[in-house]
Order: sequence, then C-alpha cells, then structure tokens
Amino acid sequence: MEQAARGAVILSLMKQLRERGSWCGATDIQKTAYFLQTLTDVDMGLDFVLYKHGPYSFGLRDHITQLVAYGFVKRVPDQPPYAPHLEVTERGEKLIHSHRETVEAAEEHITFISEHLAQEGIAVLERLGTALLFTLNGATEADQETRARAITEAKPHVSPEEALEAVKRVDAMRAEWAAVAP
Amino acid sequence: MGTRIHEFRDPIHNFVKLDTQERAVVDASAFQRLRSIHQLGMSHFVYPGANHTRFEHSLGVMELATQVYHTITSPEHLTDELRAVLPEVGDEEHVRYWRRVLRMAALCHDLGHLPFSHAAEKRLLPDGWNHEQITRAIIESGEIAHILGAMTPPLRPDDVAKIALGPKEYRDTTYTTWEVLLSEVIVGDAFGVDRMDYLLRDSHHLGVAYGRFDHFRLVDSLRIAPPPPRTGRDLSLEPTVGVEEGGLHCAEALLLARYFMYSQVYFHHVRRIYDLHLADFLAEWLPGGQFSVEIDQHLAMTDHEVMAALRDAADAPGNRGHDSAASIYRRNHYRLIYKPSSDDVSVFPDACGKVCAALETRYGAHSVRVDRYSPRGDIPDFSVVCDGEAHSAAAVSDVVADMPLAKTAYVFIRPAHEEDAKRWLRNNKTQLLDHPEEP
Repeated sequence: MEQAARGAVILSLMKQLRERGSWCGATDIQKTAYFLQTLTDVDMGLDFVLYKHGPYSFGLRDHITQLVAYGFVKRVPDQPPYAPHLEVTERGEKLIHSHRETVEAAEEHITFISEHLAQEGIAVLERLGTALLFTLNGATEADQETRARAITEAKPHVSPEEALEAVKRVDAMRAEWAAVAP
Repeated sequence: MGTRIHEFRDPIHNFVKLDTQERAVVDASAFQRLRSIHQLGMSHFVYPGANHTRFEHSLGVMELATQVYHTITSPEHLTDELRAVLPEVGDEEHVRYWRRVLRMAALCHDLGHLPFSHAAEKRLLPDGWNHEQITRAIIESGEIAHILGAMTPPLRPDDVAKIALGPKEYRDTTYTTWEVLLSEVIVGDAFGVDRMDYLLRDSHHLGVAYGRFDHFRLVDSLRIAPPPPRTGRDLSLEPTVGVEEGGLHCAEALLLARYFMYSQVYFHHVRRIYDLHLADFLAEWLPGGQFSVEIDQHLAMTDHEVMAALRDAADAPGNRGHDSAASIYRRNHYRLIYKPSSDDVSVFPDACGKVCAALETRYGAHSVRVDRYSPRGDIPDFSVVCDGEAHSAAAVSDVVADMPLAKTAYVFIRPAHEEDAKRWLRNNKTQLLDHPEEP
C-alpha cells in the first residue's frame, strides 16, 4: 500500500474510533492499527514489534507524526494526566476522499476493529495487542494459559488474570472475524 | 591487568572517565576509526568549526548515559510500585552489570557509521542494511565482542548491541521492560542521550547557541515515571523514562533546541546540497555504487579515503564522479532555487515535486536536485512526574503541546542555470501550481 493510501486508511480508522468513543491518541491508533493489519488482514505494510504498551510500529509512529506535520491531523491537548488526542482535519478528509477506493475496501475491517476496541483504554489495548502478538508469533497452538504466562513475563505490570482474560478475548475476536470476514 | 581510571578532557562534559577494561574498547581499531568520521558530514564546508567527530560524541554519549542511569536507578527515586514491576532495580549485581552494558552500548552505538556519517546511507548500502546493522555486526563479532567478553563480569555482546540499537533496529528478539528503558536512555525520542550530546556538541563546535539547554538540571530531573493516577480512563502501568516536574522547563528547552538546530543548522540548504553532491560522487566512485558491508572493508573506509578520492576526481575531468567532486571541491555547488512556502503547499501539497519536474524538463535531470526531509519520531510528549503521579507533558505544558515539527524541502539548480531558472520560476510558478490536484 503506497504511503498516501495508507495515510487515508489510518485517517479513516481514526475517524471511526472517535465516532465510537475512543480517546484516539497515538497509542490507541498504534494498537488498533495492529489489530486492523494482523487480525483483519488490511496490509498497510507496517512492521510491528513488542515495545511500548504492546505491539508498536516505528513506521506508523513516523507516519502519524508526518500526518500531524503536514496538517492532515491536529493534536488536541487534554487535562492532565492525559496525552493529546488526534483529530482528522479538513485536509485529512480530502486525503480520505482521494483514496476512497482503498478506504472503502477496508471499511468493514475498520468497522469491526472500531466496534470492538474503540471503547477500551490503553491498559486494555496493551493487553489485547500483546495477547494477539503472542498468539500470532508462533504460539497459536499454545493453550491460553501458556500464552497468558508469556504476556506476564514480557509485561510484568500485567496480572495473570488480566493476561488470561486478554488471550480469551483475542481468541473470541479472531473466531468472530473469521465468521464475518468479507 | 590492573584497573585504573582514565580521563578524557571533553569540551561538553569536562571529564569523561573510563576504567582500564573499558579503555580497551576505546583503543580498539573499530573505535579509533571514529576519529576519522565527521559528526556532521560535510557541514565543515559551511560551518568551519564543524570538524568534531563521532569519536568524542561517542565518549560524550557514554558519559551522559552513565549520569542518567545513576539518577533513574537511585534508590530515593524508586517507589515500591516501580520495584514491583521492575524487580531488576533491587538486585545490586544486576544493576552493576547493566550499568556497564549501558556504558559500552553508548560508547559503541555509532561504530557502524559510514564516512561522513549519515550522507545518503539508504542509497549507498545494499537493501536491508543501515549503519545500525553494521554497528550490530561489529559489536557482536571480532575484536569488540572479544573485549566485551573479557570484562569482569563478562558482558554479552548481544546485550550491548540490543541496548545500543533499541527495538527499532534490533529486530529479531523481544525486549524486556528493563531493556526497553535502557535503550530509551540512549536512543529514546524524548530523553535519549545520543540526541542530547549531539545537540550540545554540535552547537558548541558550530558556534551557534540554538542547541544549548540545561542538561545538568535535566539529567538530574529524569525519573523512571511512576504509574499514572487511576482515573476514569485506564492508562498503562508500564514504566517509561520521564521527568520530574522541576525539570519540565529544561525538557521544553531540549525540544526547542532540537527544533532550532534542525531548522537553522541541519536543514541549512548549502549543507544539504553538499550531502547530495557527496552521495552522487560516492555512487559513481564506489565499486558497484555502494559501500561494502564486510566489516574489514567498512573499517578501512573513512572520511580521509573519501576526501582523497574526491580531490583526485575534482582535479581530473576524466575521473569517475568528477562533476560532483568538482561541485564540492571548487565550491561550485548547485544553488537553491525553490523552497515551498506554506501558501504553495496549501495550493499544491507536493509543490516541490511539481517545480522539480518542471525544471528537469527545462534544464535536464542532471541539472536539478530535490531534497526533502519529513519529520520522524514521536509527536513530542513524555511523562512528567507531578506529586508522585505521571502526567502527559502535553497536558501540563503549552510549549510541548504546541511544539512545531521540523521539516523541509528544497529544489537546487546547476549554477550555470541559476539566473535563467530564477526568472523562469518567477514568471511561471503561479501557473505551475495553479492546478490543485488531490493530495
């Protein structure tokens, strides 16, 4: 996916997240974009590694910063302790429009991810993203308890109960997407 | 081997100290090579004082990393909550081991730099390679790996490489929370000491004030940020490197220093065109148009070899790369002909590309060069520790919230066409950009 088209898909994801109640800060976008690419197979060409608060793409980080720098997105600060949220600007809307075919092809995928994740805060997104990453990175065959242990080893601030719940929820999301995927 | 402390005089940090085992890394040929790699590429053609090298920068990064490590692992700065999620900080042996790993990672983080540092790395290396991958290869094999393994206690070279490169570049492994924190100390977007040192050092040698900030206070204010307050929206409890409230203004000054150094120095248009000419020369002069990633060949190639070849090529019209070499050596570089204004970009987002294409049609592709830089890294933000709780800096600081992002784009033209191109552009720019296209 070329860069401008990828930008349009990310902007569309941001819009849907906001419409469904997400705070839509940079971390929310990182985690939901990970689900969009790896769970629903919208190939944005992003490379994710386990880093800050779960799966993280340095390419997406740069891309979000560039969307802000060139006026497709604006930063809106909030009261402490929260990080700013991001809003699509008029120029961003034009970018979405100019890549409408690509965006439309990803529409159902974006909707699925937004419906399931927009209401979640960073801590939950971190756990779910990490659970999906461990599930997809060769541990698919491992039972849920084993994957939950892998999460708590990598992220000691996540409790075993939270990790297990995240693994179960990711398995359910994968099954649901497999049933409804276009 | 007896151990004693060795001191290096340094214009930024006064003294940089190492013990005898660490000194062995400095004495290694891979590290000594950095004496011959300019920190700022060809910037000394614009700023005559910019003759400092990766050698002293690497020493400075080690010194700052040590200071930050000392501050953030000091027992008085650690809460019980942090100790619970970072058990490593309670283990003295562990803290000592990783202190040394961090110091050596900081010292070795630039070993893979090509001659003249960053100039056109992507174009001049095989696919999949960059200077970080070469750095990793040097640390994990041969002389450096042997020295690290002979230390007391022995250091694992892959630990050193992992912290030196960070998760962005050291891809085939998982980082623990502790390792993420340590790599942030060196390469972190907000408080990475690599950046702190180069801003201070570049500013000092260039004779500009933009890059200065109170790094003494800033380093002293850094903390492993505690978990955020429990509020309606749940936030991650993962620790990150943040700043204590009293150091916020120093952190703001660091961000501003970075912005001004990029806009005023690193984006200086003559500096940028010299980098392009150098890349053009290297692409013609190097066998196959690329640097070797074989370690021995990499270590044998420095600024001196390139400058000697550049002078030969500039003197003899038949030599490979003559035009580009002469552009540099005779100071006959291409001239800045166009830099898009915000008005231009609002009408035509890729105004630079449009102007470049038009000039190429008129004067030929070899007479025009385009240079763009888009911001990379995080949108500026970090944790500020207020009353024992972590807050977003953008929420408590208007400076951070409104920090601009440095970017630039230039079109250059061969000097012989400068006047004609100026006239042509003056008469045709409006019409050229007056056809808004979708972004």
